[in-house]
Amino acid sequence: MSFRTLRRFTVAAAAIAALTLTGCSADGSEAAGSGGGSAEGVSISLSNGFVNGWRLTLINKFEEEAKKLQKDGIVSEFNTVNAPGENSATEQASQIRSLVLQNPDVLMVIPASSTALVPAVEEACDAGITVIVLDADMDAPCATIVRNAYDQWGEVSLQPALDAINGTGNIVINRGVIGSQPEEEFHARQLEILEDYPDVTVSAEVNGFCDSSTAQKEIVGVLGSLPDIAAVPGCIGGMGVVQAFESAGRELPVVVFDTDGKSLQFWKDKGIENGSFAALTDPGQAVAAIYVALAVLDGKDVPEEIVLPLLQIEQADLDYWLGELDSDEYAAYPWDKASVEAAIEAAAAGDDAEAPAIK
Amino acid sequence: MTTSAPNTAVSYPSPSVVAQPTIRATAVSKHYGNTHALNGIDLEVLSGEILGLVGHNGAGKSTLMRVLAGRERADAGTVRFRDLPGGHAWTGPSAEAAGVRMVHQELALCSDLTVTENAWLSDRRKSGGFGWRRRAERRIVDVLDAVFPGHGIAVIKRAGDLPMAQRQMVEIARALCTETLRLLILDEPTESLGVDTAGQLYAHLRTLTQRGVSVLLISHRMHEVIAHSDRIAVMKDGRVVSVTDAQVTEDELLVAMGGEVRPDAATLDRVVSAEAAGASGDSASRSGTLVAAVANSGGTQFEARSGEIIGLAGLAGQGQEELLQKLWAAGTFSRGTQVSRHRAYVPGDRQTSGILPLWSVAENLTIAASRVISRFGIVSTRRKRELADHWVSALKVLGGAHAPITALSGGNQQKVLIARAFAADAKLVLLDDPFRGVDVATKNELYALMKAEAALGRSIVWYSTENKEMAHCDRVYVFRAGRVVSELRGFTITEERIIADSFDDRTGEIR
Amino acid sequence: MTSSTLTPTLPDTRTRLKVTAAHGSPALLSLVAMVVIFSIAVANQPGILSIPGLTLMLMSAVPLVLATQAQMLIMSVGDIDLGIGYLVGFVTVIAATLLQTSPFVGILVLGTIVIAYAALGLIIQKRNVPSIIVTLGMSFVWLGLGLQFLPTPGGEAPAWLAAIGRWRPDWVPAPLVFILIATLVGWLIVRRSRLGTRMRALGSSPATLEKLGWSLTRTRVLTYLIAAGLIIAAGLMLASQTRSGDINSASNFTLMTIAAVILGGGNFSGGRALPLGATLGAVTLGLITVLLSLINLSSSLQSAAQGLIVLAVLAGRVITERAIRS
Repeated sequence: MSFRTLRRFTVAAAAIAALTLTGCSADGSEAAGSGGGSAEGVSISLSNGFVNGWRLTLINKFEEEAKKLQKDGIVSEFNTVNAPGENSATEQASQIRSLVLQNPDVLMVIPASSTALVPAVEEACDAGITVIVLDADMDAPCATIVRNAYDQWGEVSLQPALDAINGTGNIVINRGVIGSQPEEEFHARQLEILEDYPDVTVSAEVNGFCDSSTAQKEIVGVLGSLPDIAAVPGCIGGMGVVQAFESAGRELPVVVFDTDGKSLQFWKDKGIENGSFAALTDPGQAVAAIYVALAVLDGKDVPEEIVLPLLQIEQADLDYWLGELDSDEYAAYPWDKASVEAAIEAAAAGDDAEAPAIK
Repeated sequence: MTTSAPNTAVSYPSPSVVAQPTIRATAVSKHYGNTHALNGIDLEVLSGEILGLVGHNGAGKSTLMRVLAGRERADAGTVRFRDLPGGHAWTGPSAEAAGVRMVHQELALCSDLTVTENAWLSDRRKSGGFGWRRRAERRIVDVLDAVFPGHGIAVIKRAGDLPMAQRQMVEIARALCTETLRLLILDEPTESLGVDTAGQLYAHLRTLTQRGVSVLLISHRMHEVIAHSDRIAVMKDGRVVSVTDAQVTEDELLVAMGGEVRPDAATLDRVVSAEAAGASGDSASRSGTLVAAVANSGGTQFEARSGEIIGLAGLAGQGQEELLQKLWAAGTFSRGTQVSRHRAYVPGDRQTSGILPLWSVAENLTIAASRVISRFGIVSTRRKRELADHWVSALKVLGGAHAPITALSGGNQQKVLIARAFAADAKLVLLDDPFRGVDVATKNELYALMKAEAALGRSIVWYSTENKEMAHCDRVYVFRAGRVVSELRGFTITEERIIADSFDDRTGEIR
Repeated sequence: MTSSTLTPTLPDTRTRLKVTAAHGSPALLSLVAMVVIFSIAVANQPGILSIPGLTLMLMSAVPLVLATQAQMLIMSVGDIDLGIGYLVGFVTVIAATLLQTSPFVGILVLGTIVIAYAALGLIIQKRNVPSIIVTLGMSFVWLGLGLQFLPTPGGEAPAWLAAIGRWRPDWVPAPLVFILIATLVGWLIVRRSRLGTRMRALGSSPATLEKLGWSLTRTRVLTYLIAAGLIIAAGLMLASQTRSGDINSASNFTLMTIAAVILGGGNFSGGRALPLGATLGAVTLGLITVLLSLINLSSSLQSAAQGLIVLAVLAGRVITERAIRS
């Protein structure tokens, strides 16, 4: 009889111990994670919707710059959290709420959805946190938006190609993430530009989803039925496009490469010099966002939205960037305090922001 | 109201004074497939009497009970309840409305529901909107208090958390949660009850009959039936063979159940073959090597030797299937059980646990025989085919080896299942009532097969609810209340003896 | 009835409490886990112990609690709903599109969902199809319909819905109110109502229920009907928080709700339903996410940690249940 009681007790104790253990070990990792911050300075949290190569570069740039500022005593502590799940807005919303509980001075959000996260962002603002939304056009007046302009992206991914083919010939438009609002702006601007080029014929549109291998697959699917193609402008994927044309034995068109080291190396190795170029959004905007946040905290007059220039790489810059980038790293503008403040002033005046000089 | 003390079984009102039947079954017949469960039953339960109903396995008690309660329609004959007009269809709802309540043998409480909720489910009375739970609680507690004073059941507990005896009490009490009780049918109501509680129940039944309620009491406990019934009906092979007053002895009832003492053909066969063998077959089988043994606390030790056919007999559900399970699932850690490593099992219910319906006859047949037909873990298709063909032709399975198993008739499916057990090189073959619903010709083929296989040195343990079949066994263990009460061998294996031993109540009280 | 001179042996208050505690014991571990997680969170971030703090912490649990109550109802009859996640998503889509542009049509569509669920119950009962197959099939229907209405996340929830989401009383955390209401509704249905008794009987032993003359079909259809109502409530609450629609916004709810019901003392075989336990399970799961991001656990490890904690609690439940039974 007493054995049974004893056993029951032991079991219950073991169960509780197991629970506390998981709790304690979690506790331990926490202590290690948040150490090293001083009481002075600004604390920054970055909430990211999902992870890909471009986002990784962005996060690395953010963390590098934050570490530098930490040394200078401007930033006290910082952390980055990626929402679990696949680009799930609900997951990110609950994550933002727990970040708000930690009460950082600055919360930077790369939202998984530009609508569903508005309430979460508003809650963060209500808690007195300076919120910066990155890489999305969100309707949240309490936050400051730092982003690239999608219509401008549409322009820089098309105009150089049209110039390279002297405004005449057949082209294939490589579209981005169909159905998303940025892509709509992106595409609308492209169509607008094409109206001025009566000699350019759009032979086909493919859905490359801004991904090299998808673009390759799509091109291979339609290439057989196409006439000579002079250019394939649109949402990056140049490597895949080149490979598709090569395997079909066709003459290489003008393409838009990704801005990562691997694509640029491919571009150089292939010796493509037909006016092809690289154009993509700038992962350096995370660094710019830090300075925007600091400006807001300093009480400077910062407009609601700061639109930064796209990152473009021409043939002439190729060697410089190849020297700078690892193969997985995407090219980013080296934003600093001065250039960001200039961009803020330009935005306040309604002008386009200038990119910082790269060399 | 009289407060009757438990166990006062004296001065019953004579039923002949009231003499009005509450329910009357006339020429009721019912068959399932080619099994005749009821064969022209004439029976009436009088108002204010307790009618005992006894009989061995398959006598038709449960079927009769279900027909009387309106749960099943009779194929022929009529059931008339006293107030209802003749042409009225006797269905479950009309029986409910007329005041018939039944307490099942297999406990039918929802184990996840509380006692109160279980009682409410079966209570037809309007229970109103708000506060229904309180009222239902009150009702079941009142009945429990009236029938089983001092029952100690907390009615808010889940039924599944109660011990067996208390569940049985709840099962009885909830049948009594009604104001219109006219006929109460009790199927083995005291099987899980202690002596005192059983006494309380019988005392309460008396107060019910005094109010004119009729009780139909089905029980294997002969002395209880004799002590508490006004009349006793004995069933055998789907007929009521006798209705006596309660002044009979247990032996007289047993004789009535066991039927006329005549040498049946199967027994004769056995006797003849045993004599032909010269020396007693008994000692011959003793010489085989021990294949399985189970220590039985208090009772007889169970053992099976090679070359033997062992029968497990007795009333259904007295522990025979548990023994088979023990033998089948025995592992290194089962204490007191010693069993051969190579064994095969034929379940009784072929639909749920026997056949693999998507496979062909040959695949079904050879699935357990991988040790025979494979070498170094690789199945030889040729040997597999040969093995299947051998058994298909030996047992005359209609349809051949490549027919889908579901295309076969029930009897032929059963043949395949049994052949599967023998096709594997098992030393010990366990049969769990395998001939239920199998026609006579097939049965005879299978009996022959079993004998032939036993002669080859296998040991066969065979549970059957049909006592006649036991004549094919070398030895028979008779079970009662989870233990072996007797071991019969050779000439002593008779239906009469099995029936007599199955009602052996010396060890029948569980608690 | 017999006029007994004895007082009826109705269980006294002490027995009642004891039995209730014993019945609820499977949910106990979830409670312990919740308290532990909550304490760790508070130790890390004392700011939680304020009304805005609790509001933030509990907010995401509200739709999950409602959906879990629905799952609990369906599991109590022995079924499992694998379509809950996408249905909640679909409701947010309807809320952010039709309910805003043409409220009447929107309500009509929501009504159709309820009817569709009743039909599911009917099919499962009458045709004897496993619920997981039917509901899994339906989940693709919801997904397809949701994509049709709103291919990419967006839309705008009607103002009244957004107002519910913005409601912030200063005397109590708003999510706590919603969670308590959801639990109370579940408790009334499943433990107090007569239908609830039949639901659990259906999950526990359908044969008995039928033998006693109750309609299994009616019971199952009503269960699905009420569950649909709760799922719609969950979707509307989610839409009130996100103020937009997204068919994928709750796709993880399907498994989360099942885990929450099991954490809270339910079982797969049906018959059991512990509304309070289900709520505790759902809140615990919600808090785990909050806690893991509070302590800066590397986000790639978060899902694994979440799973491990759930497993630890379940293992603990098995052990304690065995201990209580022995």
